[in-house]
Amino acid sequence: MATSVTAGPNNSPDPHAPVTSGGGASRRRSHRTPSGLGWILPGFVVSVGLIYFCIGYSGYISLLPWNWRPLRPATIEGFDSYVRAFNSPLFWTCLQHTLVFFIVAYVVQCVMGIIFSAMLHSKVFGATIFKVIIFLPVVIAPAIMSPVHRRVFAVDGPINWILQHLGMINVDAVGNRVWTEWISWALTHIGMENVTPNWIQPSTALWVIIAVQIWSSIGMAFILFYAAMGQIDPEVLEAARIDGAGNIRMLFSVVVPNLKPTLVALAILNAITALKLFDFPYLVTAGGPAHSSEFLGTYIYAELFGVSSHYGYAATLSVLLLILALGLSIIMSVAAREGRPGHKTKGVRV
Amino acid sequence: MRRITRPVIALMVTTGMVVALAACSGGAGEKSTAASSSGKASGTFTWWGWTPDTPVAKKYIAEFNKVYPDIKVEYKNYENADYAPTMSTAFQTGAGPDMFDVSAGGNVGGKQLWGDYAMDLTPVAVKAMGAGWKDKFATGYVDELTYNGKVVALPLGGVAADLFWINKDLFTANGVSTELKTYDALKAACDKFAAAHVQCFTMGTNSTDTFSTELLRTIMSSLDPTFYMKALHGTVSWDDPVFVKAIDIMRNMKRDGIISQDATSIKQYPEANNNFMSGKAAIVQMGTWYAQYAAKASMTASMEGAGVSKPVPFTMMPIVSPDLAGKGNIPGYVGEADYGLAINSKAKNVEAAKTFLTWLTTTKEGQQDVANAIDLVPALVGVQADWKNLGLVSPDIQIPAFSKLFTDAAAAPESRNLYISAETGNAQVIAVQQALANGSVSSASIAKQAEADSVDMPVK
Repeated sequence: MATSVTAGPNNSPDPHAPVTSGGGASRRRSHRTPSGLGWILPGFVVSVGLIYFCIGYSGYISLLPWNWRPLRPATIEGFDSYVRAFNSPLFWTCLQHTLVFFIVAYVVQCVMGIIFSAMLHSKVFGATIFKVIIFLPVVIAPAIMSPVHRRVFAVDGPINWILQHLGMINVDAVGNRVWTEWISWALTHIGMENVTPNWIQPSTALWVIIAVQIWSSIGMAFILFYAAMGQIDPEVLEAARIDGAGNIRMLFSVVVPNLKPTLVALAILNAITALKLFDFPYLVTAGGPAHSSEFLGTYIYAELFGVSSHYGYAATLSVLLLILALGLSIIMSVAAREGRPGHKTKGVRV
Repeated sequence: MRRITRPVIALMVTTGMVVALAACSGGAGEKSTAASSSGKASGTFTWWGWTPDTPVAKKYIAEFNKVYPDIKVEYKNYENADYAPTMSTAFQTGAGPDMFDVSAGGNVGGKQLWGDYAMDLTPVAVKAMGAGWKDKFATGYVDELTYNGKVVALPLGGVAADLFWINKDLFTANGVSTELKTYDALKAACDKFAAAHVQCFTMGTNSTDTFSTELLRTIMSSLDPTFYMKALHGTVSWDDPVFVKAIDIMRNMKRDGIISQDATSIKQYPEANNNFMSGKAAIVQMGTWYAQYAAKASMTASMEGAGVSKPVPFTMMPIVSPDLAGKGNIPGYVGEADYGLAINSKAKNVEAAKTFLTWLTTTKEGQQDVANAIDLVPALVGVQADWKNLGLVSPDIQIPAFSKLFTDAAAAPESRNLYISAETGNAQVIAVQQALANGSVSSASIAKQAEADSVDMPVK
């Protein structure tokens, strides 16, 4: 009945000429174009007004000597806070923790996610129940689970109880949990003599956080891999099977290569998660003991609220975090695009 | 008609959102009224604090409302670690409470953090107490809450620390002597408790609060009673051999089973507190505020909070800290005005807040309620708790001990938090956490780091 309003210049010899067909298309087109602005206005106000304004304001605060005193100073200090951050061993410790967290969490999530997905794509009895069990931790809020994790890793908690009943832990004369002789011997010989069955301490607190985060997020990796595996053309799998590939060979030679986009997406998600990690470190270990599980998120919070209200310095750390997150996302996206089949490299389609 | 409908709706939605946001930020105090038509204060005002506990605050408010029924007090209690973040955000956004807690120092409610947001209460005090009003409070309390020449809070009461609390029933049941005057005596007691599978001394260091540093201070006082204040003022450094030795002693306490193994993984509140209240641990280091749990009713509530299903109140007693260094120095109490009440300079219901503050801090009736909560040493001179009617578990032995404790606490010769900068407090928290970790960092390195991270406060 009416002329299509999506007709572009290619459909009309003169885009500026009034379109009369159908009687009124030009009027519709002319009032729909500005009305779109109206519709995006609320989102525009929220995103620009709240998000981008806050980012800009943080950048401004990061230049102020706004430390300890609650009232905002009027003079700009410059980049002193940035110099302080780069000279702070704690800043680099946080980055180191972030890197370790990212690598370990990503590798474990990928391996376990692929294994779970492969298993549940097979004919497993009770697959739906397994899916729910694996995914359930994703939907439980960290604030709810953190007290449970504190209890799980407590000196007299379930983990040590299990290790004690496996003969790996003894209780000494003053009531402390200590490794049995052979565990002590083994730990000493691999240079881990500082590891004791008190998990929230400097040598192990970071690993507690990594374990908790993996537990919490492995369901998401599983879902992504499970969906990606479902997209693999069954004919490809059948062809591999006809060629004599076994299950393991099929997994590594056919399935995993087809999961590359998911692996890249998961890497980006994990990198961003690692950079902005806050809830579990804050709630389970409070970033400690002695900063041993400190991340940029908890460091910023501690500087802003925990110790002495270093507003300027905390804003500086926030800006650095933003730059890191943006930079990393761009690098990983570009790397992923360059590795994508069909992408032109030096004029040659690969 | 249709041409204008969509843009108009979008504009209305946007306007609505902006109005809603504006309303959120500015409308909180609309329901409060400063004064009734008769001129007498009335209406609702808000009070935020990390202390007292809500049940204690409710008692204060209930007694106040018997005299001033037209004023409604909305009290909100925050965990120590949450108070500073909440206050900071609230003040920055203009949404702070009408009245709030301020302490002499420290990184929770220190006057250096929040004093700028408070109004000068000198006129309020003069009006309520007349000339010479400062002398009617315990010595030093008003000065400790004065900031940049402004009385930012009137003291509610004082506090003292550097003392231990014991579960006397556990000591008796296990045949352990309560005479813990030396390190060896403490170790012998802990050995007996270990044999009976009772945790000896519970403490929590896995937090940014400074409770855990009080043991370190106790040890330092035992080594050299003058060292701590000198170091705070910068006349000696924290990497002095005294500090290094104190770290060593703390490590020995863990090695010898005095400090429980979980000290690095738990917090003083709630976990160490729960360990003590549930009867799992026999000793805890807390200050005079801990006396509030000695009464049957409050102890029952605390034990239930600690997970005890059928609580049977026990006899808790304060004891002087042992001479942990073996040098013959018994650490004395350290104390000061614990906290005071401040009024926000932008309070929405100033008169109601002033009325409550004046009643609670400057009148005998209000201060008697403070004394009877046995949470604080009353700020007003001459007020004492009505010990016989507080429902203590074992009044015959607790009343003499508590009376002496509160008398000595009021005369504590050394301040507790007044001269501890936030940086120094945090540096000592880290030092304690490292001391009780697995020993991979030397005591000298811990001390050196503490010195590097501390910020001295000048002598006043």
